[in-house]
Amino acid sequence: MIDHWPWWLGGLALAGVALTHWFLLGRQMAVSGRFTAIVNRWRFGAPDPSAQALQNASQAELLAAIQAATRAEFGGADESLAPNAPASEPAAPRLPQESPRSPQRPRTLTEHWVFLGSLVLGGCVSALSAGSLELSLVPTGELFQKLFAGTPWGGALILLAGGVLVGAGTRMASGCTSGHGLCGVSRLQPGSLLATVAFFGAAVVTAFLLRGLS
Amino acid sequence: MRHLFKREDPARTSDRSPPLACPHARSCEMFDLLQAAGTLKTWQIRYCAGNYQTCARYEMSAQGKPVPPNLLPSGQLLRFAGGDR
Amino acid sequence: MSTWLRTGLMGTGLGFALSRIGFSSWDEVHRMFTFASLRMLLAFVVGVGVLTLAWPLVRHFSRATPRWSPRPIHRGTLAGGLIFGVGWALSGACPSIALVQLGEGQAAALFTLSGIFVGNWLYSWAHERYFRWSAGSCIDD
Repeated sequence: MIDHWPWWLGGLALAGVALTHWFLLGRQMAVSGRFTAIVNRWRFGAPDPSAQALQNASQAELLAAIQAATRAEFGGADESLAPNAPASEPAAPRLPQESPRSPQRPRTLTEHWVFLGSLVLGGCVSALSAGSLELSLVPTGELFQKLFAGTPWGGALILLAGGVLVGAGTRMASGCTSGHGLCGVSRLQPGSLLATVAFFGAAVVTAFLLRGLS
Repeated sequence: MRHLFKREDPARTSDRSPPLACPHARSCEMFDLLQAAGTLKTWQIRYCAGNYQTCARYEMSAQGKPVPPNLLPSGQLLRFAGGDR
Repeated sequence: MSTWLRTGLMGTGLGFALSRIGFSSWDEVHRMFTFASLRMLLAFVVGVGVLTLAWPLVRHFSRATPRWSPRPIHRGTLAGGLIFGVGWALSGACPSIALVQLGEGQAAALFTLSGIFVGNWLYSWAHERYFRWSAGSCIDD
């Protein structure tokens, strides 16, 4: 049996992992997005390599490319001739001198699988080091057994159904516990606040209903 | 210290005219690039400030598809000269 | 350090932490949601609290303005959150947890994991076909 960490250690660990994720990978930690990316690859195919290629462009090459694209699209027409153009306007002020950044490097499918695989590894290391690594056919715990192990495939169906709801819900809400719950809420993002309250509330109600059924 | 706790500034650009109708404009990855190239106004007038539903990026996003980071509102992919090295 | 190594380290660290905190135990999760034990709930609150203080500091000391994905409320936020919550209470797992459970030897997590992929796929199909609303930004994280 794993001796679970006290609340303060757990809290520090969660924050620590999220911050380390930011420092090492330059993005907010968000797991459901990786599932989304994998499903997107299945549904929509591989992305065009030009996005990855752009990462090698120098600033000058980037700006030249944009100017060329603008000319190609608008034919070098004077923008003041465009239908909604205001009569006269000041030149667009440039950004305070942060040089323009190319779009974020797109992540590869392999990176996503590596992350998901390493989550498995993390669980494995944890169980191994606690001496409790064992192949078990049901989720650990007596409550689950009590509730669902009555019928032979009942437990499996519940897990499958629950999983479908998790997969669909996280994609619909654009995030899960790490993305919305940890990172989004701590950044006071409105969508994350709402999503977290929603999923937490729904989970609590469901859990009580389950307990009532047992 | 108070500045450390203020809400994240949603608008990363100081250029606010014309008013942006597109709800994605403030986080759009194309914004920085187009602004730095001095061509932002041109694209904004056609897409962000008005007919944003015709923007290829918005359309793909609304369909739930992954938006290529180098997709221009016109539907063309931004490529640079040395890109086929 | 290569991206793969960094990615692998992060996933392992997160998996390890989630396992040690107890999120991979169906019983512990159930106790959290029925308030039979406040331990994991408190851990979550502490985690969020520390991050709330940390992010502004990170922004302040960063050389370039961090490019963090905005998370506005959109038409799928509430319903999606509710659906996810029900699923979490039923399966005991959120997406990362199913994988951690696998690592611990809980073979039944394969059902959960399959369900997650199927659910994500189903929603993607449904959204493209029927919903077509904007999720508030093109950045997907």
